Amino acid sequence: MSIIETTKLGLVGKGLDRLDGPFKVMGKARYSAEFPAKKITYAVGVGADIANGKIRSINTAGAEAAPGVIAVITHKNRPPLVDGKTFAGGGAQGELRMPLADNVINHAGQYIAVVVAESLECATYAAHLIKAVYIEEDPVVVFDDKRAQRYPAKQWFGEAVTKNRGEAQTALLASAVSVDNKYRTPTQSHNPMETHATMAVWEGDKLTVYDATQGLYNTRKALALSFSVPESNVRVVCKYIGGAFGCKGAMWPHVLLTTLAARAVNRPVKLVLTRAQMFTNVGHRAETEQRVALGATADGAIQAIIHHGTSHTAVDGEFVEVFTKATPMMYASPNLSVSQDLVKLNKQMPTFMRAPGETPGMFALESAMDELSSAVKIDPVDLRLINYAKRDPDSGHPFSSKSLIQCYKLGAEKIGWNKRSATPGSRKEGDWLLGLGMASATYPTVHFNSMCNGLLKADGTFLFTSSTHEMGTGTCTVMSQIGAGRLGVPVELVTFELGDTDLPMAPISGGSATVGSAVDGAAVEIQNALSKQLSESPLSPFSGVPQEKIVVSGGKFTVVGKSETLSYVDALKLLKLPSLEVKYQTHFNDKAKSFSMHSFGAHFVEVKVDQDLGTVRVTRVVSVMANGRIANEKTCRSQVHGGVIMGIGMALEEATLFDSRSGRVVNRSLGEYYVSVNADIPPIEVHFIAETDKEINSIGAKGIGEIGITGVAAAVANAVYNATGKRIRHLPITADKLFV
Amino acid sequence: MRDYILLYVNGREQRISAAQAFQPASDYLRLDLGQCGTKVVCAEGDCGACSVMVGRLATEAGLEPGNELTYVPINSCIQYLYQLDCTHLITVEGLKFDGQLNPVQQSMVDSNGAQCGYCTPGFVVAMCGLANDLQSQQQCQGKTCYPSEKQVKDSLTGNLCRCTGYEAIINAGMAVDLGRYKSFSELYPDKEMVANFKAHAQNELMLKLGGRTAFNPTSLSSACKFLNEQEKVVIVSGGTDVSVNMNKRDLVPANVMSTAALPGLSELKVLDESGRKVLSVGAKVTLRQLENLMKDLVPEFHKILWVYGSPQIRHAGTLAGNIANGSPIADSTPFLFLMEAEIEVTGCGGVRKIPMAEFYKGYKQLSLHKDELITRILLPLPHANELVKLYKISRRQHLDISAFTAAIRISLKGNIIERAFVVFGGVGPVVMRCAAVEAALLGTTHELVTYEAAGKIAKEVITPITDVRGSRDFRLALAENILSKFYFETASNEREFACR
Ligand SMILES: Cc1cc2nc3c(=O)[nH]c(=O)nc-3n(C[C@H](O)[C@H](O)[C@H](O)COP(=O)(O)OP(=O)(O)OC[C@H]3O[C@@H](n4cnc5c(N)ncnc54)[C@H](O)[C@@H]3O)c2cc1C
Ligand code: FES
Ligand code: FES
Repeated sequence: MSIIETTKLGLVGKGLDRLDGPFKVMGKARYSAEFPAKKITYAVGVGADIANGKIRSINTAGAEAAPGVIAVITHKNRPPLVDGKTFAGGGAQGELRMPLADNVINHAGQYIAVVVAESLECATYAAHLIKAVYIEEDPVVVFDDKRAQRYPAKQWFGEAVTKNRGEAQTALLASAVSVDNKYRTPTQSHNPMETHATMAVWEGDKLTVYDATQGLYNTRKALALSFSVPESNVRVVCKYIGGAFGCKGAMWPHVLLTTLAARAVNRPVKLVLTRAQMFTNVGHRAETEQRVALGATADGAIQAIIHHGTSHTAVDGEFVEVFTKATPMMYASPNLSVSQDLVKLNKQMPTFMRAPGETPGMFALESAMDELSSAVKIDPVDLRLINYAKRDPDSGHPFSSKSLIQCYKLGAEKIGWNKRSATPGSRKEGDWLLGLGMASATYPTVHFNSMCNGLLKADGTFLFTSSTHEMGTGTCTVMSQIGAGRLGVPVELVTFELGDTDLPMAPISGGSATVGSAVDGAAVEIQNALSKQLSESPLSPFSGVPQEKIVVSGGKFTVVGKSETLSYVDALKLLKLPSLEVKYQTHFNDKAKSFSMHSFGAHFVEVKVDQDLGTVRVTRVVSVMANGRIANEKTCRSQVHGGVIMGIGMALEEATLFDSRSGRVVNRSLGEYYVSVNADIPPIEVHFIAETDKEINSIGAKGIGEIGITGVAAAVANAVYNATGKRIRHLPITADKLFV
Repeated sequence: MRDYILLYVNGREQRISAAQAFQPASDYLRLDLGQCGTKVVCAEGDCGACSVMVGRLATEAGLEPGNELTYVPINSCIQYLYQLDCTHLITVEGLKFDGQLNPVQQSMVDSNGAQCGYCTPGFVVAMCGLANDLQSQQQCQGKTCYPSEKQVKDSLTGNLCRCTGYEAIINAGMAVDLGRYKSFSELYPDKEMVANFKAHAQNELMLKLGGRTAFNPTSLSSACKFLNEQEKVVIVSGGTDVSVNMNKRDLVPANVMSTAALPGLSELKVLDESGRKVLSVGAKVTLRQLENLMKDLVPEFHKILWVYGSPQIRHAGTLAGNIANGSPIADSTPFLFLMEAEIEVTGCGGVRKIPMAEFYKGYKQLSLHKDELITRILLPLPHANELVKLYKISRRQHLDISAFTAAIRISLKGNIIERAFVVFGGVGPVVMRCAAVEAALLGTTHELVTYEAAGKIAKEVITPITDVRGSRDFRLALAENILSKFYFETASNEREFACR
């Protein structure tokens, strides 16, 4: 496939409105909990009250006798399940442990029973009647608990976590200026608006599961394995996802429980998680404690970077929140050392959450950069320019594209960086102290292989299909645009269908990766298949012309020097084809071995802090992103906005709090786990630096879902420091911390 | 007695028997009617995804039932069906007119206001609520006009979106052409509904299911009799506390009595009691009605009501419910303590008035007898020359429960403090007046040192605890600082810079 100039891709790039908008505003988009089924029953999961120990006994008599109850399943009567594999182990499960496997309790909220009843109200009422007696042990939920098991993290999806360049510690000690501090980020919960929901329908040994998931094919594989049926017997459907941010990537135990219950009661079963269960049963972002030490010369050239720290994992599995991932490639420094430890806690398995690794990591690194800037008395933007990495200092490869300098410059100009005073606490307005701060953003471009089918119909319309996911990122819209752009036809002629394992394989929608390249490839396949036949068929005006000479321009096949043009429909008719179907599969991009591929950006933030109350308000944000080709301005801007807001939430509000004695989550509701409301959100300006990246993939796009959040918390913390002179290294930045 | 609920959903009559009645409206819509546009995200009133419009036989001014339906947005997850007897619900599915998207829906599409779309129906409903409101104020008929940014933002503080970052949604709201907007009463002619409601309202609703009872009395005597005769009756007004507790299963009441059909409790008017203006607030007056009135009457109290919960919460919740809930971080009670309000309660034996200072006996312990319910609140209003300031400290700017509240009222003679009221909330089991601080202020000069000294005393006498909303030390610091803040805010001195 040739790479054509991205600007020639017609419609792509414009701010096309989302095609699914009308369904959503009418309340007609059907989410996973909303598919009907005959003789439906409702299941409710019951969670453990303790975080560590065993179930001594469990009394289900009251629940079983409650009106409308059909079945109560516990570890005592759970039907057999074949052990599955974790996501990291090549399977789909968020955690290794099979639900209701035995009486062991590893975290609060872990399922101890599932109740199936005729109505949701009956099931909820009966669930309330289940009483367990436990043999309780003190839970380990804090890092510095002496009983906590601690060990070094070795690898993350095949890549070594520990990295060293030169002699970091020696260089740090020898540096003219240095900073060396600890930063902490709390456990965070994804809290998409839609809680997880699963409906399982068995017909003989054929299974259909409607599930809120970012990984349809993975879920199918995992269910086939655990229920010992061929994969071809399992169909998983998910047409719309009501937000995910990572927690719907892996398969969590309720999917197995629902499917198992449906088989047990021999009727369709629907299970919808409660909001409280979203804090204990579908993963979270791990807590981190990070040491960042930077050493520099008196004129700001960094000589040493040390980034060490700890994140937690579950007692029965391993998940590494790789907060050191970006550090080795971010700044030019001859000496570097990064490594991470894991500590086992009585919490559920952590999982991916929007920009896993970079989000907590860039908070620490970019806060440390700000501290270095104060220490060496060089403006934060200038300090970053002094240490700008032109090549990836880690791999030594060139970047496929990098426009971070432009991001810094445009951001500084737009926010009015020259208003910033280098002396903290020196600008005020009545009771308010004012401050400005900035930080860099980054996220790697991830490649997964995927498949897409393309169909050209006799009426000249196109259908592309791939079992990817609509998570609110505008997948349907953007994929139709990409297809139409490549084909050179109006987008109205193109339909994209997703969300069903009956369609061609697509990978998990995560890491900002999606199936754009596959759609593009399928569109090219349609063109190639037709031009091949036009070149070969005696019916064609281009008969005998070598295929390479037949070009497609503006949706028409032509040959240079000839006047004839043929539309797609003309070609079909001429070739006497009823329609044309192609299959396309993407391949690993070999260029990833010789180029370093990342998105970059910069956030500039203005805050005010009430000096009596400690209240922090973010009053303005300017975010400048360089993300390769921007496939759709509107949806991309929206993604960055969403990321920035989640970043502000992370800086000021979000934390999942565990009671250190019981190990239970204290704030299991949207009333106490703070998600920003519109009043908390300042004007956010998003700018894009246009980049042409010919190495990254055929469409030149880098992915936009994650980068927006990275660095935001640091930019806020840096601005708070600039306003108050107080450096808060432990998120969230609450009024409490500014005072006490 | 009537044993079914009369409800209209998108113009269609539904009669709901006890078997279905003990569930929130959101579950009924989604599971029983299969109308899944209404989403359940939190089930606690915290997100607005379940917003629906409710049309009631009452007018905005809080007067007795009129002859048309008044529509307001509410959270259907915390409205149990028996609370909604004789009302008309309009869900997102019922907003379309002429088979087209309505201007709000169209604007959301045009502005790209939906990402994952899960919050979208709730936003659409809340925005339609705003459009309906603005339209009924007749500012827009026949001409092109749009809601202001402030109006849109204020109307959407009860709706969470985790994806978009709100900007696109707010832009959508500001682009709604109100001139083209059709009001709910135009979409759903209400003559037949009103007649049906009036006919049914005469008849008391009593629902029984497996040991549970829901009762909607139509007279105070019948209400007091029920309270007296039944065990453990939970009174429900707006349900914004009660239903949340029921959804969490912390509360599984055997007997629920709704005030919905009680007459005479919707009064909201200013009385003149020997020269002092006193506001009489009926027990069914919603916080939103109070907010509207306070805008000009007591802007300082309006400031608190404006950030109270969300529009959906204020459209359902009542002042009486806030008082009776007895939370030490209730937002309305500091002002009531400050103004020495009286609570009028009615029981089998008649009516009595309880001074605010005597209403609470301990954490959530009220001075109410078994057969009594709150019927009115008598709230004296501040004199023009009194200095009154109210403070609510919370993490988020809207839709948040306070970590700390304070209310301060000072009368000056010359520059000498003649009367002083200082109230704190969130620093103990009940909202409290702080006598020691008041005593320290009395008779002293209105200047910074006075308030700084008083702040130090405040810090000495209160004993707050640490919880998720804030630490003990933080609350102590606030109690101290708030007095100086009061001084700066009332003395209009240019503030000296002091970095703490
Ligand atoms: C999302 C959300 C946000 C909130 N935000 C705030 C906030 O910002 N500030 C704040 O202070 N509160 C807040 N609340 C709490 C609640 O909204 C208020 O307490 C409200 O005023 C309660 O009024 P209601 O009519 O809904 O009470 P209900 O829930 O109906 O009743 C509350 C209590 O009062 C009793 N009661 C009700 N009416 C009477 C009566 N006439 N006589 C005797 N007892 C009676 C009930 O039995 C119950 O114990 C919030 C709640 C939610 C769900
Ligand atoms: S579901 Fe969140 S307010 Fe009702
Ligand atoms: S669009 Fe996803 S929560 Fe608002």
